[in-house]
Amino acid sequence: MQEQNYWQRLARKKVSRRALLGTGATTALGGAAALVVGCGGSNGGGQKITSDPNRTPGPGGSVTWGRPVSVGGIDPHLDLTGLDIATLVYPYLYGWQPGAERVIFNNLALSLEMPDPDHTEFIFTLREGVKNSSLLPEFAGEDIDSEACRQSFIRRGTSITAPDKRFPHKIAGSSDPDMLPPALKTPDKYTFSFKMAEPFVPAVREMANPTWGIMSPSVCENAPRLVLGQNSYGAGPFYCTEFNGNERIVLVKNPDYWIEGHPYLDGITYVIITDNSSLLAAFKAGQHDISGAILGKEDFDDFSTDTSKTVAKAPSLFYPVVHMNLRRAPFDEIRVREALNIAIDRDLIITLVQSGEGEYNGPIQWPQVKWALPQEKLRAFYKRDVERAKQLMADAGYADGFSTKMKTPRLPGINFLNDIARILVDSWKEINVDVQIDEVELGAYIGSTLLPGNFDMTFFPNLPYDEPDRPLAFYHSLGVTGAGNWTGYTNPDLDRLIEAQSREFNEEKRQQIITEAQELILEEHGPQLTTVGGMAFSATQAYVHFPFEFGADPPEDAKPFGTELWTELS
Amino acid sequence: MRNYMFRRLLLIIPIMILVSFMTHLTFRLIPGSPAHLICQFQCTDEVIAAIEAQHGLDENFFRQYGEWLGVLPDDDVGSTFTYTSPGDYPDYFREFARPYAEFLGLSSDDKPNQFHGVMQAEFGESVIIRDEAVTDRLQNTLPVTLELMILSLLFAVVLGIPAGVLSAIRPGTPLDWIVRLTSVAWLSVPNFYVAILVITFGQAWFGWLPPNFGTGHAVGFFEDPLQNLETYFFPSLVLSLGIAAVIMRLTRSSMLEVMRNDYVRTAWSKGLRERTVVWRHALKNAMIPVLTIIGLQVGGLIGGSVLIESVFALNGMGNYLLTSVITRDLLVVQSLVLIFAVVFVLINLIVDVSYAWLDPRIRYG
Amino acid sequence: MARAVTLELDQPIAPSRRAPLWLKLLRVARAHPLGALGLLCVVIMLSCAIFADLIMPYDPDALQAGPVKEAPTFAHPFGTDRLGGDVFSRTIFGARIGMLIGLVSVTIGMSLGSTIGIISGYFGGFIDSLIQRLVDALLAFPAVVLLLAIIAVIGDEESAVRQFLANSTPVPQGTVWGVPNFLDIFVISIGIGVAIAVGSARVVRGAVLSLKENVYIEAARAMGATDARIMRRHILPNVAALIVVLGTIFLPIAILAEAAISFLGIGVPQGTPSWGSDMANPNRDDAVNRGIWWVVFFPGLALSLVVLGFNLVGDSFRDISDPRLRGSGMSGGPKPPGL
Repeated sequence: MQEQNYWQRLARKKVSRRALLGTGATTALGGAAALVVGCGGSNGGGQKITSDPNRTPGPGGSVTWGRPVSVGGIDPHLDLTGLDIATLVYPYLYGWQPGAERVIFNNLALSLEMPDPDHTEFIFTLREGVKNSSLLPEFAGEDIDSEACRQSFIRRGTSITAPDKRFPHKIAGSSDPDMLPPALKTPDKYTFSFKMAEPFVPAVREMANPTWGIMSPSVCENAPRLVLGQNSYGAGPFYCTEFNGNERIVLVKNPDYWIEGHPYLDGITYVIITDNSSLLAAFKAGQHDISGAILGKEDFDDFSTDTSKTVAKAPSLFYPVVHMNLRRAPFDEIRVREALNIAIDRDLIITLVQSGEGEYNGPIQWPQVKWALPQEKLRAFYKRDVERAKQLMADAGYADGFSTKMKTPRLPGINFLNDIARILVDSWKEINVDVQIDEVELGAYIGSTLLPGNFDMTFFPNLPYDEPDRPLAFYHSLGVTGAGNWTGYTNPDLDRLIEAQSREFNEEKRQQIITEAQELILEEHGPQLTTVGGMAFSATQAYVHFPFEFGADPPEDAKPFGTELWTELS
Repeated sequence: MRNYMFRRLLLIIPIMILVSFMTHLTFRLIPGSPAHLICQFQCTDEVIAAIEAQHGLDENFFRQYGEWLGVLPDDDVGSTFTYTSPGDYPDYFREFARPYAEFLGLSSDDKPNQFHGVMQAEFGESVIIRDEAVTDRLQNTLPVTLELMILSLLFAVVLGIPAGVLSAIRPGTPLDWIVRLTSVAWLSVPNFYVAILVITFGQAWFGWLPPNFGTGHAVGFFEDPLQNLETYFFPSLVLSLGIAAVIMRLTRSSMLEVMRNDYVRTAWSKGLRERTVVWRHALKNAMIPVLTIIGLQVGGLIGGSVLIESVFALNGMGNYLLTSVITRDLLVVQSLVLIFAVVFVLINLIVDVSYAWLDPRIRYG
Repeated sequence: MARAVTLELDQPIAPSRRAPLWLKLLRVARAHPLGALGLLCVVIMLSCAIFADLIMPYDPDALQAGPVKEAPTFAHPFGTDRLGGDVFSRTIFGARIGMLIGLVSVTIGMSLGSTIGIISGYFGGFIDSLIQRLVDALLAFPAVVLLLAIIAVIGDEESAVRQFLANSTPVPQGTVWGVPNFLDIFVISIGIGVAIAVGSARVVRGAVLSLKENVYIEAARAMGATDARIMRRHILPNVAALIVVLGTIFLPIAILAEAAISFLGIGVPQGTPSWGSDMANPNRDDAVNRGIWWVVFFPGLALSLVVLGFNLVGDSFRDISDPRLRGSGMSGGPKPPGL
C-alpha cells in the first residue's frame, strides 16, 4: 500500500517559500509581541500611591489582603484556620479590648448582667433588628435573636470536632453534651442567659473569641447540608462569594448590615500564598493592599521610610517554648532541667531572630503585662550561666552530657522557629548536651508526638492567647485540653493555684494567685522552658486605613472588626 | 495502523487499573489517620472515628478502593451493591452508568447517583480544607498548568528548532559553538534556580517583579488575553529552557545525520539553493525524532510545573499537589497523582500513535 | 547498545600504547576541552565533598561565624546569612550532602533496578511480563510526581518504612560522615532510589535479554549451575559495566532531585546545609525581599556547575564512544525530567 505520509503530502502541496516565510514572520512577530507583553507589563515598584491627608473615612472601594496560611474552612464553630474571616461574616455577642481586658458592647449584646456575687449567671440583652443578609441563598432576613444565640452555643459547645470545650463544659456542669441545651435559657426573644455551676473567669474573654459566632437557628439546624466550611450564612458585615481555601477568598459587603453606612468597604479579597517570600514581594509590588507576610524588623524599617506604606508594630503573643517529657530520664532530674534552662542564650535569640527587640518570656507571655512576671525578675532568673549549668550537670551525674532529640513540627512559612531551634541547640552544645532537631509533619506531630507524649524534648509554639488562664493550663495536670498534659508533670499545689485563679473575679487577688503560680513554675525549671518573645509587624499600603493602630486596644466606641476599614481608592 | 492503535489502546486499560490500584495501596499503607490533622488538640477516639466515617476511611481496603474509583456506591449501609437477588444486578450498572448517560443526554430518571469516584470525575474531598471537592479545585488549577505547559512547549519549539537547524548547517562555526554551549547551559541550570534568580535580581536591582505576581488568581485567556499572557510569559519561558535545550540538541544531531544522506547530496548536486535543501529536504525528515522528543518532554513539564508554579506563586496543579503533600492531605494527593499519571499515559499514547503515523517503518513493522 | 559503548570507550584514548597515562589524558582533554572542563567541575565537587572538613573555614552549622547578612568579603567569600552562618562553608558542605544523597540513592536505585532487570530478563515468560507491567505502571507517573508521592508516603515520622529502618535495620540514625540526621537523608534517598530503579530496570533487562542467548550461559546451565548462580556469576559481571554507566548518568539527576525536593520544603530537615534547602525560604525570602542575593546565588551556582560538569562529561563520553555523532551535543542517557 503506497499510503503517503504527512510529510509527503505536505511536500506535494508545494508549500511555497512565501508561506514558510509568512509562518516564520508570524512566529517572530508573535515572539516579539510576547516579549513586549512580558516586559511591558512590569508593575513592580511602579505603584507608589501616598496617602491623601484630607480624605476622611467613607464608603466604597475594596482591598486585597495577603494571607500566609491556607484556610481550612470558615465555619466559626469548627475551623480554627479561618477565624479571621469568620469574624467578618458572622455577628458576635460583643467585642473585646485585649489590653484593658474589657468588653465592648458593639455587637449583638446591648448589655451583660451578672447579678449574683459569684459571677456565675450571665444575662444578655440583645439588639433588636439584626437580620441575616439578604444575599444568603436561603434563610435571608432571619432574625438573630436569643434562640440564635442558644442554638449557636449548643452547636459550638457540642460538635465533636469543635475546639476547646472547657467553657461549655462549665456551663453544662459536665462534659455530657446533652446537659448543655437545658442550661441555656431564652426568657424572651431578646434575652439570653445561662448559669454556670462554678465561677469561671476566662468565660467573659472566651465569648468574645471568634469561635463563638452567632448564626440563626435554622442555619444551625441545617448546618450539615449547608457546607458552612465553604459558605457564609451570617448577619456579619460581609458575605463570602468565593471560597478557595488554598487560593483566594472573596467577601462582598452585606447590604443589610445593622450599622447604617457600614462596612465602608465594598469587598475584601484574601489572596493565599503560603510562601513568605512571594507574599512579601507581592505586597511590595502593590498587588496586595494589606500585607499578610511575616515581616522582620528590617522590613519594618524599610517600609517606615516609604511614604506609600503604613507600618505598625505590636508585641507578639507568639510563644515558642520547649516541652520536656518528665516521664523520661534525664528530664525527671530537676538539676538537668535547670542546667538546660540557664544554658539557653536568650539574648542571642533576641539579637539574631528578633533584631534586638524582644523580651524574656516567663510562664505567661511578656505582652500580657498585667499578669506576666516583671522583666527584671525574669532576666535575673534566666541569666545565662554556662559554668553553673555545667556544675549542675555534673552534680546530676551527667558531666559528659547526653544526647537527645528535639522534635519540632514542620511549619513551612514560619521560618524563625527553626532559627530559634538552631540557636537553642547551639546553646546546649556548650554544656555537652547534643540535641538533634527532628522535624515531624504537623499532623503526625500533633497526633503521634505531642498528644501521646511521644518525645524527649519538643519545641513548639503554644498558640497565642491573651488570657492568663490558657498559658497556665499547660502546666496543669489536666493540660490545656482537659485530658491530661503531654509532659507528665503533676504538682497538686500548682493545680490548686491554677484552678483558684480561674474562679477569682477580683483582679488584684487573681494577680496575686497568678504570680504565686508563676513563681512556683519558675523554680521547677519545667516542664516547659520558656524562651523569648518579640514584636509582630504589620504593613499596609498608605491608602488603606484601619480605625485604630495594629496591636493597640480598640477604643470604647470601636465598631465590629472590619466595618471601619476603609480605602482612599474608592 | 488501526490495528496498532487498537493494541496500544487496549494496553492502557490494565496499566490504568494497576496504576490506580498501586496508588490506592500506597496511600492506604500509611499508618495513622488524616483525622489527626483536623481534630488537632481535640483528638479523642470518638472524634477520630467520626472524622474517619465522614471520609469513608473506616471501611475495608477494597471497599474504599471501589468507592474511590466509583465502581462501588458511596453509601455504606444497604447500598445497591449488597444485592441478594440477581434482579438487582441491572440496577447496579444503570446507576454506575448514569453520569455517562446524563452526559450523553440519555438519562431520564432523577434519582441521585450513588457513585462518586474517579470514573465519574469526582476525585474525593480534601481533609484539610473542609468539604472542598478536588474536582472544584481542578477547575481552577488545571487551566493554569495546561496553559503553562502549552506556552512552554511553544517557547521551546520557537527557541529550539531554529537554533538547532542553524547550528547544524554551520557546524564548527562560532554560531554553532554558541548554540551548543547555550543548550548545555540551559540543560544544566535547574529551572527553579533560574526562576529564583529572575525574581531576586529583578526585585533587588530594578524593583521589578513578573507581571501579576501574587494576585493569586490568573485571569483566563478568553477574559483578557493580554493580561493572561503577561502572567504566564516568564514562568513558561523559564520552564521552557530545559526542553528548548533538548530540542535544540536533537534538532542539531538529527539534521547533521539527515544532511549526510544521499538524497540531500542529490539535492545539493542538482544545484538547489541551500534554503530549499535545508527546509524542503532535510528539515522535514529531521523533524520526526524531534516531534517524538517533544511529546516525551511533557512528563518533565509536569514535574517542572511543580517547581515553577511554586516559585512564581501560580495556583496550578503542581502547586496544588505540593501544598497537599506538605499539609499531608493524602486523599487529595492520591487523586492528583492518579490524574497526573493518566494525563501522562494519554500523552505518551498520543506520541506513540503520532510517531507511528509519521514514520511508516513503525506502522508496518 | 551499552556494550558497544563500553567496548569502544578505549579506542581513542589509546592511540599509542607507549604514551604515559597523563599524556593520554592530556590528549583527550585537548580533543575534548568541554569534557575536560566538565570533568574538572565534577572533580572539584568530589573533592569538596570528601575534604569538606579541610576546606571549610567555619562549621557550616555555626551561628555568628561572621557579621549577620554580610555581602561577600575576603573573610567570607560567599557572604553570610541571616544568622551569621558562612555561606561558603555551607556551600562546600552542601557538596557532601548532595554527594551522599546522590550516592546512596543511586546505590539503592541501581541495586533495586538491576536486580529487577536481571530477574525479569533472565527468566522471561510470566515473571517477565508481570514485572514489566509493574514497571509500566510505575513509568506512568511523571518522575517528580512519583517522587512527591513516595515522599508523602514514607517521609512521615511515623511511616512504616521509617519505623522499620529505625528499629530493625542497621541504618545509622545519627551523624554519618559529618551529616546529621542520616535517617532522614536515607529515607529521601529511598524515594529517589525507587524513581531511579524504575528508570533503570528496563535498560538492564534489555541488556540481559541479549546476553542470555550467549553460548556460555547455555554451557553453564548444561553444567548444572543454578539460576541464582548463573545470574550472579555470569550475567551480573557482564552487565556491571552498564550498571556503572547508568549509575553515573543517574548521579547528577539524583543530586538535582534532592535539591529540588529540599527546595520545595519536603526534603532534608530545615536548616541542613543542603543546596536545595539553602535556596528555599527563609534564604529565598532574604534574597528576594531584602537584597541578600548571595545566600541563594552560590548554592544554586554550585548545583548548576555540578550538573553542567556531569552533562559535559557525558557529552564528551558519547562523542568518544560514538564518533559518528561527534560534536552533536547529544549527551548520553535520559535527562532529568523537568529539573
